[in-house]
Amino acid sequence: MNSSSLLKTRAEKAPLIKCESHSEGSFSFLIKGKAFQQGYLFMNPQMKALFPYKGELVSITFIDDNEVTHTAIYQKMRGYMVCLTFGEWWERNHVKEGDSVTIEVVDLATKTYRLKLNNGKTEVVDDAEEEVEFKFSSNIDSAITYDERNLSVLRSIVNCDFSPYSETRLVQKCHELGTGTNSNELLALKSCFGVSAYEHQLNTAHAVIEKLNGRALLADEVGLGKTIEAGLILKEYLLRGMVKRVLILTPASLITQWQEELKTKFGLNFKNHQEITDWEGSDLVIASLDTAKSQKNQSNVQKIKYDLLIVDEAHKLKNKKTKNWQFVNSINTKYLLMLTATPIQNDMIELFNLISILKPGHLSTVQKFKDDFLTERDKRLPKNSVKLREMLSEIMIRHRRADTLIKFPQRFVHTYSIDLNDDEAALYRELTDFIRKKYFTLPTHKNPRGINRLTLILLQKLMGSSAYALTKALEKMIASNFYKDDFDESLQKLLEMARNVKHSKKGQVLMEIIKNVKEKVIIFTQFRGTQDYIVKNLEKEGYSVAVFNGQMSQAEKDKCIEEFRNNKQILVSTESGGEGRNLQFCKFLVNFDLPWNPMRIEQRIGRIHRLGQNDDVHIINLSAKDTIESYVLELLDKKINLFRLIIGELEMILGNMQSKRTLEQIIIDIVTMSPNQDAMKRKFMTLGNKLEKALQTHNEITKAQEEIFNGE
Amino acid sequence: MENDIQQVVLSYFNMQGIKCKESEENIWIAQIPEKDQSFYNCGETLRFTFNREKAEIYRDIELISEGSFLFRKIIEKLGSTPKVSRVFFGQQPLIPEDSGIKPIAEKMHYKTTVAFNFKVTIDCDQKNDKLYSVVEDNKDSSLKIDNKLFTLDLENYTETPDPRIKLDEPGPEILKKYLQACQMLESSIQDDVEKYRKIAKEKCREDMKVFDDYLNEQKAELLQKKENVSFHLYFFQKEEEIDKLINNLEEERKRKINELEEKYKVKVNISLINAVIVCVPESGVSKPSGSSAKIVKLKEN
Repeated sequence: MNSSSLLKTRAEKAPLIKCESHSEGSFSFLIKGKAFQQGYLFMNPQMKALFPYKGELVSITFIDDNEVTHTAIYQKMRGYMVCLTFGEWWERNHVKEGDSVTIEVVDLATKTYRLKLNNGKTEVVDDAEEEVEFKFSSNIDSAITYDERNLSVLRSIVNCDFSPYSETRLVQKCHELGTGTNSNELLALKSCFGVSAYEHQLNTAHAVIEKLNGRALLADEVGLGKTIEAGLILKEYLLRGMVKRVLILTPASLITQWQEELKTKFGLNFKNHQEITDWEGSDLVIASLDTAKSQKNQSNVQKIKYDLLIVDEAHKLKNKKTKNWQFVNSINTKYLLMLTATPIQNDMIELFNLISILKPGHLSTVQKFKDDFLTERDKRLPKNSVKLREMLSEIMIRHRRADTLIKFPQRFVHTYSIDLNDDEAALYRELTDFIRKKYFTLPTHKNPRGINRLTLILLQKLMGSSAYALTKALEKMIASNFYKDDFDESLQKLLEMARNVKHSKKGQVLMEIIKNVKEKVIIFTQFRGTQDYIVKNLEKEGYSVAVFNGQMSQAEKDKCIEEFRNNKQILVSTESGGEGRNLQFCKFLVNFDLPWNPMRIEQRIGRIHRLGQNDDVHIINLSAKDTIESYVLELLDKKINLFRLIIGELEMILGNMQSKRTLEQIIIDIVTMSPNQDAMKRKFMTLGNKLEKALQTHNEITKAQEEIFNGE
Repeated sequence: MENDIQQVVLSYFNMQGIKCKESEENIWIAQIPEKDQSFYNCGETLRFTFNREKAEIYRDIELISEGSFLFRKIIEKLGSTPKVSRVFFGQQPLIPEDSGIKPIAEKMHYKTTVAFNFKVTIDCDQKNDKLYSVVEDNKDSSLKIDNKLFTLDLENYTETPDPRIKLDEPGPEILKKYLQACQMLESSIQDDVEKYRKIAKEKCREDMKVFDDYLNEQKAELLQKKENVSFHLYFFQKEEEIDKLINNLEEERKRKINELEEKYKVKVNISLINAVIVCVPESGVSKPSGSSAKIVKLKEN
């Protein structure tokens, strides 16, 4: 187009078209001048009524008699239409000036119109080459879409709504920054925290995204950071804009841990099922498999098209006949990551079933799989293992600790079995008796003022921690007046005894330990009362102490950790949760008291002993003899070697117990339901045997994995 | 990259009228108006840093870096703001001193050309973003495509026109240029898109074959079972069960095939990032005396 044409007025270029006839849904006009041939249609007011759209610039589709579509842009205010292919239509149909053309509404919602030549000669398209030429046009190829915002840019031009060039350039710069990434680089790494770039993890992320097409079984041995691998892949997909809607299915006990890791390490805010009102409206959701597959939620989940589904502890899908398998298999997802350290537990078919969800048919049918790979003597051992491993390499990634060359430092456990002082022991006995008696008078409709089960358990745990923590809690209970009538006397007596405890034996032992440790130490306790006591005593002795608890703000927590890292020797913490903080600069950990939930103990240990720790670490347990804590400690230490397990292994062992209740719930039942000390000990012993068996099963499974995936 | 990001983000805040200052080394504080607080997921103040080490230490501080969500949100917000600029070449047409020709004042006007910047996203099982510009040539008004964005050195340009020079408002021609640019862009990416299509089609075909074989074999196994079951006492019941399983397989086939087709469908999106209207003064001139008066066009040098 030369400059002189730009200077011409519209009237010069093309006079208003002459209306021939019009009705509600159509309009006929005579073609005048060359404007139409050049791609312009200037309309008169009657004709404008055919285009009743709100926008100032609107994209219109015309379909001609040859079913060829033409895209036009309609400028409402100035009443013209621009279309590049009007000229082609003109030529094809041998249109002449003065011919009559009709435009008919086909569908106002899709802004589609029919373009008809009334008196001209219509030529049917039969030339294959021409068809190809037309085929690759946005008008024809529905796979090409134009962003709706494009019209806004054009609108700004025609309205002379110009911005300073610095702003226009800024928008441009954003796109350059957002697009100019090297696809070999993992974007995710640049904004993650506490994610050390271990080679095996990076390899996994690259392999899943680039080779396995986003569907993979991540089966690293425990402790190598499968969650991190999944997080890296997830974040990378999100940043590359390939994934928007994500569902993570994990055991209920790991939901919080996953949420925390994703938040603190990857900056991702996943909502759990309790935090969402509707599944459809939430893009990042984490839920337990049981919750998602429940009658209430199942159909909601199945309706949604997910971009990425992550299933943790995927060995729970080993059986094709179970609801778990069928439900996960029915979820519509583009990418799928399944995480398990034990893809085979009892039978090779379990592996087949897992792969069938990821890529049905990859290992052929069950029968063929059995014929090709199963030996008759042992269901866990394959024949043709080399071929099987080759096939698995296209869908499964497994690293062994031995392959990664990562140094896993040793963990030394020191348990101090402490005789309580007489006054402490008496208080402990009195409280335990009180709890046992009162447990059977729990609140009912008739007697709502009874002490509830949770409070009783809490009292027991407080006593296990320290008399000071118990004192504080009893003072609060008595002050509340809630328990006045029935329990006043007993509570008063307990309070009296607690206040009279002169010294804490555990506290004295702790001081001795600290005296001998010249390095940084983290002391964990469950209760604020105990924390205050420990801090007071340590400061009295002149130690520098940082205090960390759940009531602190995020900024205070950051400051506290920084002080501990740089200036203070001791950190006293009530929080065992991940928090994603790197405390691996510390090598000594003291469990002043022990949570009954072993997962919380594992979390405490995980703060200093996991991938990234280069030095040996020391775990020091303080346990008062003949207390519930001592039984729990014995159970966890002696029966399943809790303090020596690799982080992540505990969940696998407990999973072999086949119990719907958590270990903490079982322990609470033992404590509260045992009529006396001997009965309680017997029950703990039975539980110990179960745990031993679970550990044995775990060891057998681990051995089998080794043979299948790495044996000759 | 860190500097680029810092520059973009600070300019963005400035553009939004949000005040921010560096409260200590590498830590910035921005005062966020109430209406924007949910966007930034913060209260009245947003503390942020461009420095990874700082963010590692102070975890309540927002890290704005390549790959951080806030940066992505800012990019998306900015990207969704249509921006168009018009710039004017600052110098008048150069006329050789000894040529004797003179510009005709009433013929002075701005010749307008346009530059469109596009982002093309090809989305399949992988995603690929590419940037293009389609720029109108000042000499012959033809469009030229380039696989990088058009930028302008403002040194020779102003953002206000010379009032003595005639300036036309953009007319329908600009829309036509846009459509032509789109057409050109489509032709230019055609090979790329075809390549993606071919790869995706092949992958989809492979996956579908594996899946089909799997279902067919399963179906054959079930049909075989059905044959054998006819001697069973309760064969009617068994047959029904097997028929139900076969139906389930067919349902699964439909569902998985849809899933695969959706996964490997090549989707192309063309978005117009921005546009720049470049105006260059142009003039008609009179020939030196003695020759017949004829308008000669002079281009910018």
